[in-house]
Amino acid sequence: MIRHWTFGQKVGAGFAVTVALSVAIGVVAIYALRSVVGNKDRVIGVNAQLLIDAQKLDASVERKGGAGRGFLLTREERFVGEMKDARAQFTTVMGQLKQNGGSEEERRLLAAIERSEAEHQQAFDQVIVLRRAEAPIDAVIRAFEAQIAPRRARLEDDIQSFVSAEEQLLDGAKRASTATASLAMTLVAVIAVAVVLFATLAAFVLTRTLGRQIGTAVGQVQSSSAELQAAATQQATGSKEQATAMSEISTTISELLATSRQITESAQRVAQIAEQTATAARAGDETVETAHQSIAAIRRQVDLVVNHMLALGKKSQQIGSVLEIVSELAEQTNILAINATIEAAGAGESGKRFAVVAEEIRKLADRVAGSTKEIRGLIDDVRSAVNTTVMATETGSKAVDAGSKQFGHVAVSFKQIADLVVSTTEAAREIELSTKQQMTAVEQVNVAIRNVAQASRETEASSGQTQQTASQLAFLSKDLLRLVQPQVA
Amino acid sequence: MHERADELRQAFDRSFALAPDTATDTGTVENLLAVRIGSRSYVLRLAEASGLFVDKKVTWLPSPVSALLGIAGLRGTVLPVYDLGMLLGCPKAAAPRWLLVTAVTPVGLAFDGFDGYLSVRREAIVPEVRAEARERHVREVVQAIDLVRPLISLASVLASIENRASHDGSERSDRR
Repeated sequence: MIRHWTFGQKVGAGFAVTVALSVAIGVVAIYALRSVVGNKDRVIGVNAQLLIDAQKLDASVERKGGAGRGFLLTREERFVGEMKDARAQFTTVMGQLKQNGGSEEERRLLAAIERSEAEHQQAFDQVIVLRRAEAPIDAVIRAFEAQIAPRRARLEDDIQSFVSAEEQLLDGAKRASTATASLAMTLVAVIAVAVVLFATLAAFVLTRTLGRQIGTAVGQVQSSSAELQAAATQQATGSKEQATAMSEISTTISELLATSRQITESAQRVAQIAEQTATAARAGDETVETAHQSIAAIRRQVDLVVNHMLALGKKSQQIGSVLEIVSELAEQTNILAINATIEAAGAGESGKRFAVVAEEIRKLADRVAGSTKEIRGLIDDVRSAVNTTVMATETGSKAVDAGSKQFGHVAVSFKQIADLVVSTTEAAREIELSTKQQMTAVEQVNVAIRNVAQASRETEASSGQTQQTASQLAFLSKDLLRLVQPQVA
Repeated sequence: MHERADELRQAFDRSFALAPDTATDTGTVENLLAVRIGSRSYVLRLAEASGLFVDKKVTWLPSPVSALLGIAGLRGTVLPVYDLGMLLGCPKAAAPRWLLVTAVTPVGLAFDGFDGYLSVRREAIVPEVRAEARERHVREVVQAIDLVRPLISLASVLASIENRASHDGSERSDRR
């Protein structure tokens, strides 16, 4: 992620860490100073005050002892008053010491001082009573030496013990304060050293990274400058070729313009021919329709002929039936005639005339039979002819149907031709219109091509300038690389 | 068609107006009946026949004689009816339609078809000399200009029937 930081981000991050460490140094220094000041205040405000109060306590004891001795020497009452004042001061200081002395040892020593002072005061009061009773001075001195002096010494010892203890505490507090200050100084020094090391390291890393990246970028700028120079050269060459090509294209477009004009004229002729074709197709459609109607009439006539032929066939069949009867009658007549002939022959002379009649009847029957055969043949011929005619007529009817269908197809085809001719006319007009639009567009393209040729020449000129700029950029990048990485440059 | 009818009528009338044919009268003409038996054509003498019939009902009669078709009632007389083709030696065919009654002995002879009535001169009837063409009951042949047909001798046919009948009768008498 750091690899993708910008230079500003990296430098800012280094400075931010340095500032953070500096702030840490300040915080640690402030904390150490505050600790030192606290220790100093505690040493001065508590331990030194306790020592001063102890000295005050010793002074009040001395003052009380002096006042007592003054009374013992002079028997003046003002010394008793001073003594009371000194003791009041002692009591006040003792109260302060009790209040400020926090440790058990201090409280024990203060209690010992208070007991010793009470015993010392009690001894002084007894001697003072003795002095007021006007006892001899020697007795007073002895009593003083015997009762007051040892108690005074013990009281001083107790005070001295307390002073010694307080001096030890003060010394300990001083040492603790000194240790805290030393620790703070050490910590500050360590952080300062760390800051210095980090700053040095960051400066080194930043210098190296930035130098390398800038060197890489400058190298890329150099490479890009070279490529840009080559591209500018190619662009100049390409622009020159483009200008030449544009000239050729302009010439070609002029030819295209002429071709478009010819296409327009051809499209106009096509439209005219298509209109004429449409008129002819409509006329053909009407002709086909008339022919279609004629074929339908023929179809009806053929149907009529077929019906007549079928009727003729039926009639022929009926004639055949009648002819069968006639034939049978002729056959029976023939048989009768033969039998009559036989009978006439058996009748002798009288039957001869009858035999003649029978013979004639037989002949007549033979002829009728022959005629019947002939008629049957004719009827068969008629029926065969009728069948042939019916079949031929049916074939003709089918042919008429096929012709009618073909004419229908032809009519549909004529309609399609008419529709297609209409479409062709429209297409030809659209071609004409499109060709005109194409001509306009081609003229615009021609103008645009000329503009492009001009632009190509300008591009060629600007490519030269780009080449010069790329050369300058290459020199500048080399200088910059020399500044960043002199060993490479 | 009317012309044809007129022609037939005139011919019919003319025959009665003319004199009778002398050939017929003098007996030089032979009247024949042209018949068909199977696929073959024959002629019969009209003089040997007493009647010609067609489509007459023949009642079947059980008989050992295979050529006997049965009996038929003609003009009040019951006659035996034989198959002429089988009598001539032809194989049995379908039921013949035509029937001829012989003159001397009334016997019915059935045959398949009747072609017509013929009148030929006696000179046209010649004996059958070809040995390979001779058939049973055929002794003569009619040779006209446009006709050559074997002539069946009905007398021979009747004789064979009678011989067969008398032979069968003698056999029955012997068996008795």
